[in-house]
Amino acid sequence: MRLSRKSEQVEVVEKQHLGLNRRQFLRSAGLATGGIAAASVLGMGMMRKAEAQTEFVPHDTPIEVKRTICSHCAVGCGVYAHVQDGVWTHQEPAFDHPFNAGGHCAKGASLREVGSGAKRVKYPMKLVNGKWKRISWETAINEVSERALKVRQESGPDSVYFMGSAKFSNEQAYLYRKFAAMWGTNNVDHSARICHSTTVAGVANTWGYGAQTNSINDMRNAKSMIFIGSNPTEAHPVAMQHILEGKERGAKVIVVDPRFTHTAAKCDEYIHIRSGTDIPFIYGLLWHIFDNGWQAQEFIDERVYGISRIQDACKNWTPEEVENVVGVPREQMYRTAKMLADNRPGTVVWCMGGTQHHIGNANTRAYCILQLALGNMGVVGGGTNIFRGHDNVQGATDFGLLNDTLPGYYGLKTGSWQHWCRVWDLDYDWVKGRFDQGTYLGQVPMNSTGIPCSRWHDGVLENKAELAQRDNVRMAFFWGQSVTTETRGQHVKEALEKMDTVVVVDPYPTIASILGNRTDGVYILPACTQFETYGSVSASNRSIQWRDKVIEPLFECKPDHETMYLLAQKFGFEKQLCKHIKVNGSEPLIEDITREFNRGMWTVGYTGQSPERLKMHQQNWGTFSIETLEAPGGPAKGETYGLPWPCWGTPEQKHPGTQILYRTDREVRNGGGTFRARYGVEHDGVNILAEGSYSKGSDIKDGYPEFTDKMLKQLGWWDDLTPEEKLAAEGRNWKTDLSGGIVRVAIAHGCSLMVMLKHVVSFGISQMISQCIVSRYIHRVVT
Amino acid sequence: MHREPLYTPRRDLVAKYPTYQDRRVARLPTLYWSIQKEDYAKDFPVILTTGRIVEYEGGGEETRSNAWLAQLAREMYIEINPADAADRGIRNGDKVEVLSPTGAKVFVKAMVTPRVAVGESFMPFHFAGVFEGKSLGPKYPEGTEPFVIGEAANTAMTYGYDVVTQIQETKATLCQIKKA
Repeated sequence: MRLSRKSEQVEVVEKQHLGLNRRQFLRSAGLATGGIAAASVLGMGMMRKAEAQTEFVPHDTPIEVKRTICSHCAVGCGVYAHVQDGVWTHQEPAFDHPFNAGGHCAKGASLREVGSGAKRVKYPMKLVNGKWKRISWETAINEVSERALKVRQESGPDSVYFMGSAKFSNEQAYLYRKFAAMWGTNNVDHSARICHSTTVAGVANTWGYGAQTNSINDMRNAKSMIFIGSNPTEAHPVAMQHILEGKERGAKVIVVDPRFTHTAAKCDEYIHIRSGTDIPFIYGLLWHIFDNGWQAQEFIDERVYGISRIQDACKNWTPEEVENVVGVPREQMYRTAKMLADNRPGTVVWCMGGTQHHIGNANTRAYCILQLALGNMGVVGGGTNIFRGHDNVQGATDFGLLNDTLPGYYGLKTGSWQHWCRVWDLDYDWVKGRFDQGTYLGQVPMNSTGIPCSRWHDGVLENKAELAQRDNVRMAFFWGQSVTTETRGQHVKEALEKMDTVVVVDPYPTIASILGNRTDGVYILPACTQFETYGSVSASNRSIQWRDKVIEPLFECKPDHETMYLLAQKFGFEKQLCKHIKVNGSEPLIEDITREFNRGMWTVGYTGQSPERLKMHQQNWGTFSIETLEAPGGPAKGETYGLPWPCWGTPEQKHPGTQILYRTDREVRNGGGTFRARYGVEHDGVNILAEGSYSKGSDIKDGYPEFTDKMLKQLGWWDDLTPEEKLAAEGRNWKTDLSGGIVRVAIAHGCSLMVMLKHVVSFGISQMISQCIVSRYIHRVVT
Repeated sequence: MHREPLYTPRRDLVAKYPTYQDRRVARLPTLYWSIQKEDYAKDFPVILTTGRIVEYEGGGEETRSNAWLAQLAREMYIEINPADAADRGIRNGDKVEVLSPTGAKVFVKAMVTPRVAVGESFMPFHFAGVFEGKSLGPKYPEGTEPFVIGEAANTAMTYGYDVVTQIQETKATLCQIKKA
């Protein structure tokens, strides 16, 4: 039965003796999913590939089944794509996939359209005298690179803007960031900036990692769920099957939104707040929680620093003031706070409704504070389940496709660059030499945050003297992201008109190619979708999934990593870009890129997920439990699906991945962990390390700072390292020891790997610390 | 600590909960107080927020080019409360003009629904291809115009960037709505 397929086994459709029936006809024609209605809309263009062979793909052509992942949101639904003679003829939602269990939304169900690509960009084009002209790839790459080099020569590397995308695979996102580094700029960014950047900032500053702490599957275990500015029914529809399962098991569902959304229609309590009043709303809940003594005092004493400041701040948010500012009456606030207090563990979910504000980072911290006060962190059924939007926005964020960090949240400091130069096996001075050597308004381009993608147009239009770089942005690559996402449309249009050159690299001619009134200087390079290449993608819950290549690139489209390589050749740094990455023709080998980032991503634990392990999980996704995401048996026994980061150590160390962050009831080697501080080990002279809280099996029974070579020596653990590891670990810490020895030894002693990770932005920290709770992370200084 | 939106309808709360002073964030000068100090609420009394619909993703270029999705959601619209609609003589399905404090105007269909509260409105953000009433359809390379185009909500969305990360403010601004 096709509907319950669990293997990749090739199936030959039984010969029909009585001719085609209607369903088979449609399927052969590549139209079964869309039905008759679509057939008339799409016309014969749909059948392009098939026509090249015969009229149709014969119905009995052997079917190859490819395993891929939907590219429309970060839930990460599994898809079985049926391919016959190179044509994508059919798709099924994977019934045995632990995330979607056979579910698809409208977007997921329509994926197969990309296999026909009716409206795709089919070949490179440029705008000449107001008309689109077809050009060859060679001409396109030559002209685009010449224009970029001209801008570089006249205005410096920062005058070229590299907009990236959350539609890249992890490997492409990593390579693009590296590509921008080789070009010599931090003017590189992608849509995480405009969707969850404030989450990453606010959450990481509260407990260490700026990501979803639990998983969507884990919401089955929640006793309450509060959605603030999140509407999964429309934005993450397949997540609803886990949410509604949780509700059927008794969880209370609360929806907080200015609009009565489709999700609100499913809730127990709908709360209307005025847009932009999230903080008073949360403080209003906290007022009732403290007033009634509902806070989780034991948890707070052990693991939370600074709650008394929050209690003080809450005093200003009396029920009357909350009603005045937010518009929610006292009784409803009380009822909601009680519902959360009576139904623990509970989870908080927020999305763009909370993040996209000029105070977004403060909103996200407020949500975290609510969870700390309720003691809902580090537990099954609790956490902050922050749903990401695009399919790989989590991965692209993790790989530093951002203006303020290198891959792995290492930041932009000299030490961060030196770390990555060691991973890349490149001379730091050569990389440094690629950047503008000037200082502008006190900022050094290599070490300062670039222009955010939310404001690339201000980089074009702003008075040059006001910019902390040499010149305005004069040329931009809009690589996989639409400028529809930028506000102030009139300014976006003006900026598109003012730039020397606009380059769109995309499967579709996004609005950047046509919005400006231009007659020249616009290029469109056709890109492959993720179904025409392969690689890994990180779902919202940090699970990393491998995608098969479903079909060969359509038309003249090229995969993004190949286009990057072609440009790098013209820019003269292709050898550095791919020093340890095999290149087939002009296409860098995906697996080698995965292995390269495995060697450098020690901060967040993207080190254990080798291509081999990820492919093994992909091939066995049916063996993972929908309840726990763990495999009870089979080749992945004991591991969590997709090895969600942190997956510590080298692949050989076989860390099982971490489904629930900061969970102290498990050993670190088994997916446990602790909060991580980002402000050192004390604040205002007060120890902020955890007291009496540690993960299961830890040899250190209190908080501890980041592991370094010195600390291992003090602890007497140094000799646990092999001689080779000792050589590599000398003078390093766990985030810079490329041998993984420090990680291995610390985990063997049951310890988690604390780091002072990069923060999303350096300015504003002092202000944050005065406003927010700093979670105590584990531990005491060991002497 | 609460700060009122830059474009707030509650002028009475601005003194108590003001935004930040203007400042430089990363490489760019960034405005806060110099916007909030102006009273836009008089001329633009309706709160405007944006969000997703299930049929489309992000800027929508890919999904609006997919016929199977395009036939499910064909037109850009604004959700407006029945009371606000009645005050303006707007009926469900009417063409309306959404005026932004930036001076931008977008032309969309009215969806009159109690889903949004009185004094509030909502637009989905996946549309593009029409700019201030003018179709950009003919400008697409031949054969690539998406099946569905429409005004981009962000044409009307206003200034406002997070002080730490520079995320854009697309969830709390103001507009005026008129029958077109």
